[in-house]
Amino acid sequence: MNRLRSGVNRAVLVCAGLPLTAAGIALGFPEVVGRDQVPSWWPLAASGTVWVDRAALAHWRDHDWWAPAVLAGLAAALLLCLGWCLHQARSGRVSTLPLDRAGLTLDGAALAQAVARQTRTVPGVTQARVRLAGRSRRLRVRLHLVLAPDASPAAVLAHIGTHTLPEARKAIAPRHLDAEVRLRVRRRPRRRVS
Amino acid sequence: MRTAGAGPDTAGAGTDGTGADTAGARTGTAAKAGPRRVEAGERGRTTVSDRAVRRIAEHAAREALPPGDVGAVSAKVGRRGGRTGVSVALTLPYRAGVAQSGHRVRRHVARRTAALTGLPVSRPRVRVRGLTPYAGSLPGGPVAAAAPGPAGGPARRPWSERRVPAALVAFLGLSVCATLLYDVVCVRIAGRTAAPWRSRALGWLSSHGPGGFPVALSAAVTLLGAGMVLLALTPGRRRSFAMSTADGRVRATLDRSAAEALVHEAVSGVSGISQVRVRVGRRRARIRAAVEFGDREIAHRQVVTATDQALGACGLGRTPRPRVRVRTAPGWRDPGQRERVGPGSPARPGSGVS
Repeated sequence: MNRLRSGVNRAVLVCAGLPLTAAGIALGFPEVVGRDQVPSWWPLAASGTVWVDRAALAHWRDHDWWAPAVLAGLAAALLLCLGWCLHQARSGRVSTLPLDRAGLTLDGAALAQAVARQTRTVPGVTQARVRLAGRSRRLRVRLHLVLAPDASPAAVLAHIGTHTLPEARKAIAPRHLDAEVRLRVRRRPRRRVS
Repeated sequence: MRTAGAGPDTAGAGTDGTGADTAGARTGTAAKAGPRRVEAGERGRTTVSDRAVRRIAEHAAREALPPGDVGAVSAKVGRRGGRTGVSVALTLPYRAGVAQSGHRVRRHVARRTAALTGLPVSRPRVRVRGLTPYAGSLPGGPVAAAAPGPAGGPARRPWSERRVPAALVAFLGLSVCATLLYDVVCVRIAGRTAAPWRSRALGWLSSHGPGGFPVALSAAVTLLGAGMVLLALTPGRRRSFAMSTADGRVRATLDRSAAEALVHEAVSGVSGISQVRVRVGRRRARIRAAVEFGDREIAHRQVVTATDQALGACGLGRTPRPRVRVRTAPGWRDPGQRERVGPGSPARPGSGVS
């Protein structure tokens, strides 16, 4: 899980959702309750105003910098939305990991396959899919394991913590490696009463 | 390799003249530059082909480490100006210090290739494309941790990234900005008049105000906003539970369906139990089963034991409390009643539970 991406997404959702909620309540309350019951401090309750004042808009448009400012603002907003939308699609996978500064690299898939091979030898694990994610400083190895129905997840996790992960950490020695493990169980087809 | 001019290969400075263990006697000396007077036997030019350099680099990579360690070697040679660039892709054994092994291979390849071909080889690039199982590492024994990480505290609940709602909001903003931008560009730069929808919208906005806003629309807007805030504040990922880990750097989750399957398996193993239905939640687990034969109380106790064992084996951060209900199947017969078949035998009190 990418904490930065999660935080930014949630912050933007709040920033977009709160004004919508406030506007909805502010606009709907006078209609529901009746114009006379609305207190004086209620926003957006004045009935004489309009959303956009033509005169004010013409006054703004007279300025020289209005058109370029509008264009630049819209273009910036467009790029921001596009970048943010595309960022959600990124999986964060590490394809090559530089091992030192002089041209030695390790394929992320190579480390992932080595870890998967070791994880499949853990008793109770039937399938393992491993991916390497994160940045050079904070590497994360994501393990998706499918266990047999009679396996013990706690035991599998302990085994991974004492064997598989230290091996991986030793292999990419000075770097740190975090792990995210997701366990599933393969269901056995229904059987008769024993 | 082409040799222009007469003369056998001469042993230049630093070369291994015979090139014993490389691909044939195809190595040679570098091109000699300079207008000095050249001996008759040294006249001519020796060119080392890319293929030769590649084979030399591959062989040097293989012999850098003990035999059998390096595998699947393939090299590529590129010439830029006067320099020759070599890049090698190989597999290394999966053991401690992959970086050190790679470094050794790189140094050896650089040295040997430059020595055997005489070309100025700039620093070779080595790409480790696979990690092979290493015979020396014991799969069974525990490995001593280099530095123990932070101890795992209480299991932290996994939070969803909310990628889909964020992508939807971004896409909405994107489409609005794109259409507005397109229209503004058309108006300002191409000189056309504003699009009809824009002038209509502007007209509507300048003639209507906050008064008289339809209730349905404001209700919809409120719900949308509240939904977005709710999505932002709640963790999500309702179908996986957090497991407790000993190492702080490891986070593990167990799917809800996996916990249910494990409890289902454990309860179905109790003799005489059928029609097991399991629902595991964050705080409670509901187990329903039917007993086909045997004593109901004993079956109930066995089911409770099996459930506790299965939930304990899950290793969750917060174990749900089980609620077990065992009912009797339609074909169940009280085991105590079988004693009362004969006419004279009395019913033993407390035999079986109906």
